[in-house]
Amino acid sequence: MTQTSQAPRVSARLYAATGAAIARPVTLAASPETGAVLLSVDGDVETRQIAVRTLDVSERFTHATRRITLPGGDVLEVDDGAQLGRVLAAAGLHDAPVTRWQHSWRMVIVSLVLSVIAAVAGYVWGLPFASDHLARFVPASWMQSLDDVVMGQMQRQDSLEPSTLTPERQEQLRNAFKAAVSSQSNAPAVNVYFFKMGDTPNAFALPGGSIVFLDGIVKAAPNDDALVGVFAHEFGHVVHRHGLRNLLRTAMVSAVAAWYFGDFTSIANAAILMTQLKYSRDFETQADDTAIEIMRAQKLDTKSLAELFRRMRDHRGAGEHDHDHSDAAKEPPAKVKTKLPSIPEFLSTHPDIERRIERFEGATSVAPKP
Amino acid sequence: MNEPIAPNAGRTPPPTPSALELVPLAATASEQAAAAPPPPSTPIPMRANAPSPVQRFEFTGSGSEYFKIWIVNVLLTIVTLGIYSAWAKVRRLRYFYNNTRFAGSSFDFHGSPIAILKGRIIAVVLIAGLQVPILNFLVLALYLAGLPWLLQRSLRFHMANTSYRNLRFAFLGTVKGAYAALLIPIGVLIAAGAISGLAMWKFPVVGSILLIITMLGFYAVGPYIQYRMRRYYTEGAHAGASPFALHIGAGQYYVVYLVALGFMMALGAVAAVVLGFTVGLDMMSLAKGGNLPVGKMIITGILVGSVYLAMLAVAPLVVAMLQNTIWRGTSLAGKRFKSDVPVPKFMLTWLGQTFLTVITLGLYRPFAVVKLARMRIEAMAWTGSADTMIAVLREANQKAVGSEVSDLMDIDIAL
Repeated sequence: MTQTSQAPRVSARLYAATGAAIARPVTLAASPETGAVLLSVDGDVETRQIAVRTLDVSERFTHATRRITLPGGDVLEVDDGAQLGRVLAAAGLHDAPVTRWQHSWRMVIVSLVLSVIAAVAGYVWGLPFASDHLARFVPASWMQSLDDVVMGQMQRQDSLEPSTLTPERQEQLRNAFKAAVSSQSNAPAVNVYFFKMGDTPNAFALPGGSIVFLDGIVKAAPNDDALVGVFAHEFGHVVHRHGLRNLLRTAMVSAVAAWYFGDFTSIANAAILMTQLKYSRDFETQADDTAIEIMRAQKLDTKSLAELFRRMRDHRGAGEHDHDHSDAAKEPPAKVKTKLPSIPEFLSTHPDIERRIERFEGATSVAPKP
Repeated sequence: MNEPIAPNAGRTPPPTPSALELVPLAATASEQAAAAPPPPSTPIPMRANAPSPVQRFEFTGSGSEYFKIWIVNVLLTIVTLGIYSAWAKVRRLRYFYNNTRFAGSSFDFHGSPIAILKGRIIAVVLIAGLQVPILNFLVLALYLAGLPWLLQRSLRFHMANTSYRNLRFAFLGTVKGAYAALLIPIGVLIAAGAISGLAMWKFPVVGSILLIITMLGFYAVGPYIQYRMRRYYTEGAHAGASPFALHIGAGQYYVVYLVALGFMMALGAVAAVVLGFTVGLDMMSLAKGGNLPVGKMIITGILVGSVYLAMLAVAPLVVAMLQNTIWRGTSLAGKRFKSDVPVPKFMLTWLGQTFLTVITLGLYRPFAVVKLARMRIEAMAWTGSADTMIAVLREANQKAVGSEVSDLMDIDIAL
């Protein structure tokens, strides 16, 4: 076997598998014809030929020592990683693709650009898509039990007091609601509950299909059509499984934020919160769509819903005057937060109320078909 | 450098000590680096014959090089929906280990990405479980109950997969030992949390008070838990057959945290004084019929805001002080380590690096990580002589070979 004087070689330290971590100086030379390296211990005449395919070589980093594990367990430590690369290349062993990319500024810039694009795309489309698909696998009975637990908790904490509406009135409303969605195919089972929470006007839907109306909103409504509109909105939440999808999206965003931000958990939490709010507003808009769609199908005037929202906005403005200032100062003008004290955390915040009122007003300009 | 699990993301069950402390314990690169035996006297006639009394650690990595590695791995992780992150983590550990030098040789990491992938899947399931409103208490209880077991596996995995000059380290602490170290504090925490939770169910006011007391108690007991975990880790860690030893008590941990508390209070006092002074002046000018000085209010806001931001520096304060405290009190084969991280400089550097990371939306992070790692690693040294190291390494070969390297149950949970 010939060894030309041009064959690249590199010096190394040998730590035997059975030695006591005492280094022996060795030289490694390429043997291109045989696809092997020749290992010679300094001071010995003999060389040992080892096929490069049997070597376990550590990745090339610029200033780090590199390590080669020989078959048999001995380890070579090489200070000059670049020279080792040349020796191995001459013998037919090249860097892995990922390693090459990491050393190429062109690939680095490509990675940077693609990563940014992928991150944005994931945030806008990928995460919602994935979590929504996951939502289909969660059984409805789980969510219903969760509903019962949450409502029980709220009653125990006295956030929810018994309704002051008469049973007849409640039944009347329930029938009106049922009629409104009777034409919907594949309507999920919903249960409507009536409670009182001070004089707060609001309604909310829980993931398992329980819809709660508070006395305040029933009293504030100009007519029952508006209440049907509210029911249709909440029904939209249930049909599109917003409660569960929001939970799952939050979970996935949390996992990604934890991976990316690592040590900086406070920044991660801020990012998660912002994402939560954005996804929530999307859901609210979709529920408004459902409300308009159902009301139109029932030939109900959406203006009554707009009027109800106006009254709720004014009620909120009057009762929480002190809070509005700080909220307005902190948040960008596009969104206004409606936060009730003990509503469970996974319920969403809403888009700008003015825009919603306008939308409901405008929805009736489309004349129902004769 | 290591990313801990953030189970608090989005919700706030009481923070678990271990989620934070697993970082310094389970394979922070600098600590693995520091668990090193001294150099043997080699037959290579290139070193000076008189061994120096103290051998320092060196770090040869660079921020720009690590950035290139990091960004390529980020892309691959995104494209594989997170699965490649296990390989990326192995690469990161090898980068830091291979660039950490002691007496001319560097360290190496041999862990399999599959084991790390298993750990990450567990972590994702955990985080998901913590989002569900009622379920999260159950998930948290399970996590706390299984934590000692997870800790022992994780430590064993990391140490058995760390080597220096073809010598593997080992962790010989038992699962029972982990439970013993953590049982009382964690048990008390779970019991207190459960009682508070049940109380809140029936008596919201009393229950809330109990919960607050529980959380305060947690912060008081936290340093002690951290100390017990460190003891467990140090005494189980072996370089070959020689164990490490810890010579400090829990008291030193409390000293560090009291300094941290004092730092926060001092800054808080400064903020209060600034605020009170300017608000007082404004009140006076308002009373005299003047206008609200908006410009001054903005400046005050900035000043007070800066003070609160400076409070963030309590994190590097604790990290640096703890590193010095712990490693000065750690020995191998009877010889102590040295650690001289300059605390104020480390805090200022950390603040600057964090600021740069935030304004670049995280892209500066690899540079920051390398810079801070260098400060921490190059502050370390070992006082053992060459003879001591030879003795340590000679013993190693008879006992440590064949340890749990290929155990299929090996998982790694310190993200």
